[in-house]
Amino acid sequence: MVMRVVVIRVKILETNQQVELDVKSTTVRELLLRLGLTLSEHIVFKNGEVITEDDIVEDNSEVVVFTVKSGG
Amino acid sequence: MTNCSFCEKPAVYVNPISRLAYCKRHFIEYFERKVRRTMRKYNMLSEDEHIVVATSGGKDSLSLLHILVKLSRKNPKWRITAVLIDEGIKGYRERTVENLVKYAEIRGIPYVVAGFKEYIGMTLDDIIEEGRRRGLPYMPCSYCGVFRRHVLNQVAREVRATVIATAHNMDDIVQTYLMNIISNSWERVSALTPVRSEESGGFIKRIKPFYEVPEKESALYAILNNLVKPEFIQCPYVKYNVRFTVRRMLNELEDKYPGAKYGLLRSLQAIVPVLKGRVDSRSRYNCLVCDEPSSQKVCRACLYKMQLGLLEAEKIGFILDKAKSDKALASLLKYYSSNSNSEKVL
Ligand SMILES: [Zn+2]
Ligand SMILES: [Zn+2]
Repeated sequence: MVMRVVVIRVKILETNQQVELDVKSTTVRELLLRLGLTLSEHIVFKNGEVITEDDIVEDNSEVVVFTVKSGG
Repeated sequence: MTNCSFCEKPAVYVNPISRLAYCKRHFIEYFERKVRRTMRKYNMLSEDEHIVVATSGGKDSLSLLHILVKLSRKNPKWRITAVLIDEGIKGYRERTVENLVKYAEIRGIPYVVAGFKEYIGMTLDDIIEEGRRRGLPYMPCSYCGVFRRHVLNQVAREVRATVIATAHNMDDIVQTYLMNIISNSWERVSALTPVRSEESGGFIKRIKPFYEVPEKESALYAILNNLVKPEFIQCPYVKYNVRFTVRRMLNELEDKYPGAKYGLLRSLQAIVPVLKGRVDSRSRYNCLVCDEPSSQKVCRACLYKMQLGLLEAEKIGFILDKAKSDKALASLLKYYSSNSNSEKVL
């Protein structure tokens, strides 16, 4: 039997990074915390829709993290 | 999936303080209600106004423009002009200019794009280079802030605005508050009010309708209304900026203690009346060179221009002549003509 590695893929727009998290499921809050990103500065998208920090992300999915900063 | 506290739809936002969840529709309602309440509470606008909305093409200012345009449908005597100050920052500003122009043209909103090049004489990129060449002690954000304000005032006067609305949000305000506490600049703290209006000639009333709106909410409002795409564009000079560190610190504090930023805003509002009469941030003069309201006899924009070699010789001659019989002016000019003064970091 072949082991399939399933991860949560995170795209961080600010740093243009792609990160893979090896967890089965996590809340958005914990996900940001793991990445050292603040809740108050980030909006998270899944499948193009905004989700909240209380939402749960399962493995084998992809989220996009957008940093809110004053455009100036 | 988190559901909206007011209907069954999926939530897009959870208020970290009240813990209420909002779907798209209920978030937009909540946001607009909050801004309308702020505007009412501080008497920002009357029935008959020509509002200049200071826009950058970024999320905050497009959100502000959007909500004011929306409200203007119920206020037929409001006129709105969007003004974008193009500092001339290569690879950055072009992209946000596009956002504004697209927004304004689709809806037929009058707009003005005013460049540093035309109004000051040089783009910000060139100003920074020239400043370095001349050994001037200023940070990029000092030139930018001073000149941006100057050009905005000038354009607002040209279009005969009755009020200038800026998109400073709660985060901007508490960051500035903290930075000014650190640098012991209480006259600047006393100017951090939701409304600024002064008696002095030519001062156009300034309002901050997002005074009580956290940055995340104004960004979300822009995204949900499709005003901006979720892409990250940042000013290249921001890394030279103290605000960068202060903002990070405040947001970490907020995550640990939800409501901390709001608490700082309340602290600011409590201290401003105490400062009244003790520190003076009013613009008592009209600048001898450009006639704009200023707290000194020559405004900072004109002083910077002088140091950068952007002020005409006859104007320099005129103020030097005035300084012969005016000690305060003479020492002001002396301060600004010596390049060795070390710039306050903030
Ligand atoms: Zn709802
Ligand atoms: Zn001036």
